[in-house]
Amino acid sequence: MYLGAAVMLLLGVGGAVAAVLLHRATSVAAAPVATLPFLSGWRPEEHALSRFHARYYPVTLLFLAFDVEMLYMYPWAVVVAEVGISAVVEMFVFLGVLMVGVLWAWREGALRWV
Amino acid sequence: MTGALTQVPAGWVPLAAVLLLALAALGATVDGALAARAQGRHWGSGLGLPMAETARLLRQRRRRTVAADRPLWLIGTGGLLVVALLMVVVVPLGRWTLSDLPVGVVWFNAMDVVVWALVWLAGWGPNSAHSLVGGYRFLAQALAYELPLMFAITAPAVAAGSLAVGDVVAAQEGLWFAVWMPVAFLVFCGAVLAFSVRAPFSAPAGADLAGGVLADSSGIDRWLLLAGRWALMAAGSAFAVAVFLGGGHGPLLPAWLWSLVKTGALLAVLVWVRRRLPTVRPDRLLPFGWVVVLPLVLLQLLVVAVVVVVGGS
Amino acid sequence: MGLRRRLTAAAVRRATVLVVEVPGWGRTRCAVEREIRDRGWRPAASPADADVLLVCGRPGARLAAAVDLAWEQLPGPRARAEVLTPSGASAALDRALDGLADDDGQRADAAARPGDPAMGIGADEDPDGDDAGSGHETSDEDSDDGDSDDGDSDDGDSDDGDSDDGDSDDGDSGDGDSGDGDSGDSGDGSDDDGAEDDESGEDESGEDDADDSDDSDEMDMDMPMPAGIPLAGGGEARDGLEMDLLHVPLGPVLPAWPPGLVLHCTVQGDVVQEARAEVLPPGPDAEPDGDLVQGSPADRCDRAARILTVAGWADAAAAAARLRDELLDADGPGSSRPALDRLDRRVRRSWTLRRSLRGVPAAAGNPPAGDVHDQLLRHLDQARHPREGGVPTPVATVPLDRLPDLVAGQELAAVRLLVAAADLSPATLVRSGAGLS
Repeated sequence: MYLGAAVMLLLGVGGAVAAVLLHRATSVAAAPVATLPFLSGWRPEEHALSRFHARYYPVTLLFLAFDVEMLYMYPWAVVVAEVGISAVVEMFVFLGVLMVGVLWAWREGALRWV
Repeated sequence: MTGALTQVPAGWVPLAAVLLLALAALGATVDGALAARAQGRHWGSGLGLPMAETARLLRQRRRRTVAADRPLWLIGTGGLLVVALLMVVVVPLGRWTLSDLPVGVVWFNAMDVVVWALVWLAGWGPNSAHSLVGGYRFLAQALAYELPLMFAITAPAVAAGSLAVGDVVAAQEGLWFAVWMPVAFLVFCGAVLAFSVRAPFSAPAGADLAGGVLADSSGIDRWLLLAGRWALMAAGSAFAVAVFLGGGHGPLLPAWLWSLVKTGALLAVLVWVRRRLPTVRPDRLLPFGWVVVLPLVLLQLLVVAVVVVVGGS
Repeated sequence: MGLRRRLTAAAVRRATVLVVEVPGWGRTRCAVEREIRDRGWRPAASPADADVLLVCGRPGARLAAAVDLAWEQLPGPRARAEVLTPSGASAALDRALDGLADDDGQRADAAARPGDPAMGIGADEDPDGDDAGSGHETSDEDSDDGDSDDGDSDDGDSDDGDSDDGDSDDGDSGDGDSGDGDSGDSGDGSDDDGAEDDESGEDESGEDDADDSDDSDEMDMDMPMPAGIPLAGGGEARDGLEMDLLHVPLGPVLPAWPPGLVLHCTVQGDVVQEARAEVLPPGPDAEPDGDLVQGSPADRCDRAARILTVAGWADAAAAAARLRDELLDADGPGSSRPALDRLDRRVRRSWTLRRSLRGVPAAAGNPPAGDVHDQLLRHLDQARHPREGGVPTPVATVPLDRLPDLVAGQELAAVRLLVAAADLSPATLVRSGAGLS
């Protein structure tokens, strides 16, 4: 069942490696050019890899709440037809509560991050 | 597993890979033609663009930036194409599929989440301010599109009562899901543009960041990134055809051909859309995604669930 | 060997060109862009993307230093050309094409390139001093002491060290921050990697440069400096977390950017905290070829094209650029009117464009008012309805020293849009030289 996926993974990785090897033969020089990162023509004053201020991190927490909810969503999708209307009500009350949380976060400005 | 599809042996994997790459090339060709027309040349002069670009990048040297995080950079660069290939493992071609996973929809979802990591790694790797910002932009954008995407692909699963892509296709005999769940379909198409970093969701590779995550890649690295993006777009279209556009269902033509024709057509439409629209900045997209699109998709899901329950009882 | 020749022939069919405009050569740049478009080539977004580096005009020393470093960052095959007049564009691109197609020459060039990166100069250094006084004056920030360095372009290691010592120490000790644990961790890992990379680079080449950077590593025992570049230092973010500050100069080698402009930005995450603006002048004895007539329909289209490019709408930008070239030919809107109207409608209707551009303050008018979206529409409007008698509507320009205030606190995307739309007229910039208008 997962054999196809495994073979595809091998093929994909192998293909990418093969492309890199092919490139060694076709490019004007096999070794990469050593260079500074592009900075409009200037030398960087410091390394770019740093503690980046991802100002949208409140949204990641909100996202996490919904993402965990997806754990229930997939099994629910399979059984909703059998269980009937009660499953629909329960799930959407749950989603509704989460959505209220989103609206509250929106009103608090958590979705605005510039 | 589900009986609706024939699972072909793993020996057919290379054919699936070739088909995906061919579709990706088709997308790039359509894009080249549209670009040529926009620049006032005959559209035919843009048809050779993918081949010319491939030749150019094969000849071009790679770059190694100072103190780059090379292992992570390589993973991010090569990974996009691999993920696109893994996506199509569960997408049926007519009646055939490589693996008819009982959780095919979840599998696709999982693969598309891997793109988060890969684009960010491609931005992190080169130790370059522009690409770093590009990588983080993608995460912000992903926060905006991922939830609508997840709920959008749940809707067909609810309607089919199964997470296997084969069952979802079988459930569309007679009526495509795109017809009666248009919101979910449109949102999914938008998400395909978003995870393949295409306009209007191209900010992570934006012109305002000197190419963003692409800013310091050249040679085969750049080719892998570009090809990966086109392949993701093609894989997303193929999946949309399976779960929304009836897969191989259609008159006259054989089922496998219908799958290909629909995928190519949807891909061409997406390419056209991407050229029609300017980039939306992630910070402007995020509130829209959460406050407008997410409730709409949830409503769509509610409608689908109610229809299924009422229709089933 | 036939295969290689075929690959070369296919590879040079669609070359990409990184265009650098020196202040005062606007018309030349337009001619170059047109030539690129007509050939089916493509403007490059960065040196990594470029096959050809094309300089429009004669740069002064600092601008030339930036161009030289960008040239070293082209991966190759690469070709470089200088264009001084609009009529020279085609020949220059032909020459560049010949250079690219010369496979043996390109291989020799690739083999001759050093194993260590060219270090260029810092954005604040002045290589020869012939741009002296060229505008550190517009600073509204206590600029770091980079100006005083003697700026020999080869040994950048020592001066980097002392200008940033304090910051980087902070950065090191505060590594276990709370907000962004993930990236902090991998940051550490990658820095180690970086050091290894650097060493392997030294093994390959073993030149003097490498030794230099080694020495400086030992001198600053407490501060790791992979490849002779310090780590980023911390600064208080607006929500009380300590996050690193990066110095990101924008310009002058940057597509869709006003010629010669450098915006020295201090960036936290992707938000510009502080900025300082200056303009790098052309060479002292250079005779600029000239810009578009300021405020003319063609000029308006050019400005619209720049905004649309930065907004990520390549097709609309191409339409605006085509209109610009038609207007330059025709000397009057006449036959271009229908296309102008179409573009105007398309831009006006675009809901996504409005969403991205609204609220980004416009650096136009006195005092600056409105946003970039208004400004774009105004340009298109003025292009469609030029004044009677051919006298162009003047562009209300904003002095350069207003720019830092406008960009402070803005996100990088907004800064790019704001600057792309800024009416800092090139002519003003050239005349003043120092960038004080």
